[in-house]
Amino acid sequence: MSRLEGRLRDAYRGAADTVVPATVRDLGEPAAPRPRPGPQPTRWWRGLTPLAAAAAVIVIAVLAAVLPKPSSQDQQSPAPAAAPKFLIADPRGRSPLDVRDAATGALVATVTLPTEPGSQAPTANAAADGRTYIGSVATADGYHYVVSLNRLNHCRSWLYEFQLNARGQPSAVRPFAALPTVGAQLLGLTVSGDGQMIGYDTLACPGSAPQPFYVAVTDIRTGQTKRWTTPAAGFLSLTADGSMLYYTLNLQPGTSVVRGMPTSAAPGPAADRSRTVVQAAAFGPADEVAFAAISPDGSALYFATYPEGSSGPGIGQVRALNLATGRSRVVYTRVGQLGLVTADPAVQNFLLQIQQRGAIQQRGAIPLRLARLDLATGRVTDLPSGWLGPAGSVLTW
Amino acid sequence: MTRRGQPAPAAAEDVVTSLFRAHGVSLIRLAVMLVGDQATAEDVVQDAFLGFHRAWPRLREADKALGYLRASVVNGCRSVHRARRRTLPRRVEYDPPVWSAESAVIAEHDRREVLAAVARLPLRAREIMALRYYLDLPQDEIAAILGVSRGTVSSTISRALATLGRDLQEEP
Repeated sequence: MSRLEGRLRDAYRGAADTVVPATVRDLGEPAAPRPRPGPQPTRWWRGLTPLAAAAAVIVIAVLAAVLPKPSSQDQQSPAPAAAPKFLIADPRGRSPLDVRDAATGALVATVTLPTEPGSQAPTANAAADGRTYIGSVATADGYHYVVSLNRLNHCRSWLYEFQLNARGQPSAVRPFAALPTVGAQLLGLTVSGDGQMIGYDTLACPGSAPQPFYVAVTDIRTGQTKRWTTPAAGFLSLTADGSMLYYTLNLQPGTSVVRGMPTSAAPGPAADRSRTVVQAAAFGPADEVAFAAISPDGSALYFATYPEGSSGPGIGQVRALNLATGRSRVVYTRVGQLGLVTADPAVQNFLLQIQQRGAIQQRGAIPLRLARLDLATGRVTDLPSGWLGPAGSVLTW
Repeated sequence: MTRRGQPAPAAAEDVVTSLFRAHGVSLIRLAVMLVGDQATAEDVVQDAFLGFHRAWPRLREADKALGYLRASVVNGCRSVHRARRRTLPRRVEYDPPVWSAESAVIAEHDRREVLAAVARLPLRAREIMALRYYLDLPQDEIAAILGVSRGTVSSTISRALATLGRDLQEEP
């Protein structure tokens, strides 16, 4: 076999792998209407009645019970869901967290976290020790929050939980019962929509017992944890049922990707258990993935790209990738960086902290614009941003 | 009650269902390589199975069922290309082919480059190359599926490899 024939076979295998058996519609299952010609399902659908009846009983019901049901973006319009009324801002990187009205930016309350990680009761001067910092904050519903606290030079994170009431007032902060501590410094956290799975990624721990970077999920019901080693993952997100975990990898220029992995995969190297679903270089040779979030039903991956290291202002884009068809569409485009991006739990809106074009950039004082991007329509609505300050803030919505 | 030598309708449904279970995904993958996107490929394969279901009472050799389906899929893909040419002036939007940058379902650049080069081959050559290098079918089986001579298959593969070699700067 010549090298060319080897490349051909490999390329065909790659094309074949784009068809995931679970996404294939069953015999007699009608296709969603699409604006394209070709064999029309309706033309023969009526003729398939006897077969469809048998298939429906024999195959479809069985497969529907066993396989995750694919749902195409083309097949459904997203139901409007109200974004959470409040957001959590982490402008200082340490306690306290700010609870703000998402529409007005008004400070509603603060959430004070423990000074000494592992202690049961938060103290009033949590920031005073200067050694404790917030790793990440996550929510699946805009009501229950999980926060990880790290301590300088400690290869360990402590997790806490709290709730907001309808007026944005926080409950007491308690250790997160399902996973009170992790023997590594957590960088990112994510919670599945059903609240039953928590995902996180960690920093490598040097020292006498060095640990590699890894991503992990913990089943909150059983406490079972699975880990997959991977260099420097980011922007973790889980489907609502916790069956799939998506994360970004920005290792070297030109290699930025989003990978997806079933959480049922056996522990081991994430590279062997996951597959690339987005390669930023497909959109521009210097593009990097600046954010990614999977829709709760697992049908669409929303991601932002921006050309890193470009001399002039590049094009920042938000795209939606239909995972059933592999087709991506541009949701939003702007000249310049999109800044920090935050998704709401339903992944129907993004908050963008945008560096304003043409602004005079003084040292450490870059004016920021805060905007809400409706992912269904691409419409951008400006929000009050004065409270953000020049450096912006890590937000959880 | 059925006539001697003819399968009962229920048996036809069982055969179709089991064939779809066993070969449906593989046929869809073959169709993806010819039409470029999964949605169209699924339509083609569903059409092929419907045709097979209708033809089953007339088919005498069950062991040729897969060959019949493969031929139907290739023919269905050809129909798609004809339909697309007809609708070209109307600027109908299609799902982008899997090897395009817009699709981005194939991450590896080399694979996309090879598949894009294959996509520039004449349609008949693309069919033969997919049957040969994806399904690994022998040339006489490809000839039977496409209704051409074995020599045609052989010469088409040679010419296609030469073209791809030039495009991809490889020895054929």
